[in-house]
Amino acid sequence: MKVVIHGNSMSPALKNGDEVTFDSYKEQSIKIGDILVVNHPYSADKKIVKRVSKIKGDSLYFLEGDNPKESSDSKTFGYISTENIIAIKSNEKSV
Amino acid sequence: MKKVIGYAHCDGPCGVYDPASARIAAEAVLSMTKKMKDLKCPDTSNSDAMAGYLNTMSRYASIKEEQAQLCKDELLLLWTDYFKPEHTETNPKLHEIFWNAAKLCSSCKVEVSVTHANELMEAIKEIHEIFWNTKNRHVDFYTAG
Repeated sequence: MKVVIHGNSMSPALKNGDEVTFDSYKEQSIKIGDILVVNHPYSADKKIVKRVSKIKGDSLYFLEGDNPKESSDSKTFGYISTENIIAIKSNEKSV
Repeated sequence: MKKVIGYAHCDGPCGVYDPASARIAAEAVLSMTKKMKDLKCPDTSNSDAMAGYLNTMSRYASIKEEQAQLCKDELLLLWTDYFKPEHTETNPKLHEIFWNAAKLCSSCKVEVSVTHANELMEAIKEIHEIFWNTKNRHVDFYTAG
């Protein structure tokens, strides 16, 4: 899946206007550091792109932007569950 | 390959902004300021009357302080989250207007000034007009009081 990035909350990793290839989410394992495309919990039509910063259990993910000054993320809308995940870009460096 | 838009925005998730929140808080500041000015000091040797007076005055001051801070918070939210750099092109004094309005909130906390409370209301009226112009909508400014 090709995702066109709007906004700068994931800068510098993903910048406004970047076209990035994500893998469709098919229950792959998710690690801290991976970047997810998820359905916004309060805006059904909006898909947001954030990085996993915490994991609770095996189905709840805390997402944050890389650019904390310009990010609306789990700090405002809380944990995201797996049913909202659309696509994933694994961070190969994460453990 | 399927292409979708992925939002990595800074906006709040609801996207709902309205200067009315600041206006309501500013109205409370103005109201409390007037009440503080109007409250008559009783005979200072009457302890019961003084207790009631001090209690009422304290409540007025507390609400004024709280609402002035709330007004400032609402203004800063609009300024930093809603307004974008392109809005300064059509409103070159935007930053100055917000800066002065935020300063007036501080003045209203520190002082008991009807003049500054009225100036704060005027500043919010100006922000109201700028805000709704950015949405190409005409919304009349009104007050609850």
